[in-house]
Amino acid sequence: MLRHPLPLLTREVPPILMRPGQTWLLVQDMHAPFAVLEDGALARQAEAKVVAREFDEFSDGLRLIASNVATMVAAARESNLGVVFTCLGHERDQQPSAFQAATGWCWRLDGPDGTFPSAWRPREGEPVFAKPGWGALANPAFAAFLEEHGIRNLLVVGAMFDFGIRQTCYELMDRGIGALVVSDAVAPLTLAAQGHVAGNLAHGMTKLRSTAELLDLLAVMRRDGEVLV
Amino acid sequence: MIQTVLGSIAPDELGFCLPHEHVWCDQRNAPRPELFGVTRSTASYMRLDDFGRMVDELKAYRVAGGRSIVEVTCDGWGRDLDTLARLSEASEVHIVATAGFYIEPCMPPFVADWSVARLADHLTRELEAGVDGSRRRPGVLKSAIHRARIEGLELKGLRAVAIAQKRTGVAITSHTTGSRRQEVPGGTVGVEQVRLLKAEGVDPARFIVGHVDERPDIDVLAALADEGCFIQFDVIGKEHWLLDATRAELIRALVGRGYVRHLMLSHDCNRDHEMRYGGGRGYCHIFERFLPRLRELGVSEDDIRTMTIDNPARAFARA
Repeated sequence: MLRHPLPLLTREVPPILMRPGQTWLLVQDMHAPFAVLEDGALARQAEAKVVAREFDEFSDGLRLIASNVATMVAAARESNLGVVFTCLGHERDQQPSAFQAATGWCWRLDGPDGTFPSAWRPREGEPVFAKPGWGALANPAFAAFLEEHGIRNLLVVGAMFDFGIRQTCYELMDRGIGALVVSDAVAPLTLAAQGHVAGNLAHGMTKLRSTAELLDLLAVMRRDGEVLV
Repeated sequence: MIQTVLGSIAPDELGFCLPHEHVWCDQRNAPRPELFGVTRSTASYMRLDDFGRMVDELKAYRVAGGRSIVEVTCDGWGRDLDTLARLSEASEVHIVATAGFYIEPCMPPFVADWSVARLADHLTRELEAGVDGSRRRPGVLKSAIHRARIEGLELKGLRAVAIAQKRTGVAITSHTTGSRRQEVPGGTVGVEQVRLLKAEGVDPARFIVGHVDERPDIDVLAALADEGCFIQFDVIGKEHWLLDATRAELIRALVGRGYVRHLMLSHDCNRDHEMRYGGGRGYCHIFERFLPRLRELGVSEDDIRTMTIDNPARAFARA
């Protein structure tokens, strides 16, 4: 049984006003190391260590969310929402972060580890930010980007829900930026973590909605120019 | 010969053996529970202390095909060779008892007070003459490390165990780093145990690296086997640490690399909920669930026999 005591003591999550310009879609950790199940870095490592079965729940989850992630990316573009990508890894001119060195995941984003499956590959002009560790805001360039563009809230999809996405949502909350996690477009490492994180994350400034709900809301936004969630 | 709580038996009498289990223990007796480092509810302590139920568990194991169990509870948290002898008589399962030391929270207070030499003499006396004047003798030594490094009383205990091993020839079985295994290079402090034991003059072939299936790195396990050690998958069924499916694939891979003579299998049962009376599968899980997995993966009956019968016979016979 999962209990979520923290939201019993916190204020209700305030409404989010979704509107082009101030609302963007964040696609996190959906690059090759996490999202390519055949020969991404994670899969290769697990295979070499003969522990691939330990990642079955992650793989299954990723397969389940893949179409929803693609749908959300397409819907955001169609709705004139910006799409921004954050990826664990480092640029060519950067050293691996302390986190990357510690985990051994020193992925260079200008090489194969920085590629994406075609279904959600960034288009020309869509920014991709390196993520030094789990949280996206640890990259000051991403924090500056949010501020410069007046981004007030983010719809969030991606992998490692119970690690990176949770951390990024907390960091957004610290900065007063709302997050709406697309609950069937985020893949946790384990199924047990999905319910645990989803239940506790919703304290303060994080909401959860399904892809289907988002598609309806985006349709209203396209019609009315904005929508309150 | 192999020393059981009821006397010596020939290695070929050992039969199917679980080399790392508890049958009678109570961790509430631990002298220094504050060193566990976490707040423990009473329910989380390792504890098996219902004689009638444990007889039934052992009988079920015997019906499944089991013949012997190595009971690895050490002095300090409920080791009781007389009770083990009665359990063995009632169930007709051979039980090998353990000398040596569990992790520091569970060590008897005298470990802190005595010298390494005196501790070694004490262990030797237990192995040669019997425990507490009972003439019931343990058949294996144990070294347990619960931190990421071998230090303090656990290092002292390991050195005493090494001396006693060289005098008696019995095997050393190990506990390796429990919940702190993530801090250990290669995932098992067994690597460091082997290094220290070799420095003390112990033959690695007499060392059983326990709990390798909590955080396994197949290359490290292969390296330990190359040293000559036994590598023991002994928390089979505890899938909160690792899936049995993964354990089976690792074992198949190690067998495929030629390490079958170094592998042993066990459950480390130690709490009510793991036993049949508590809703678990007790000592029968390997029979009922795990060996079928190995067979499905193509591990042969000869290899299974080697891991479950031949290797324990070789490991627990005095060198």
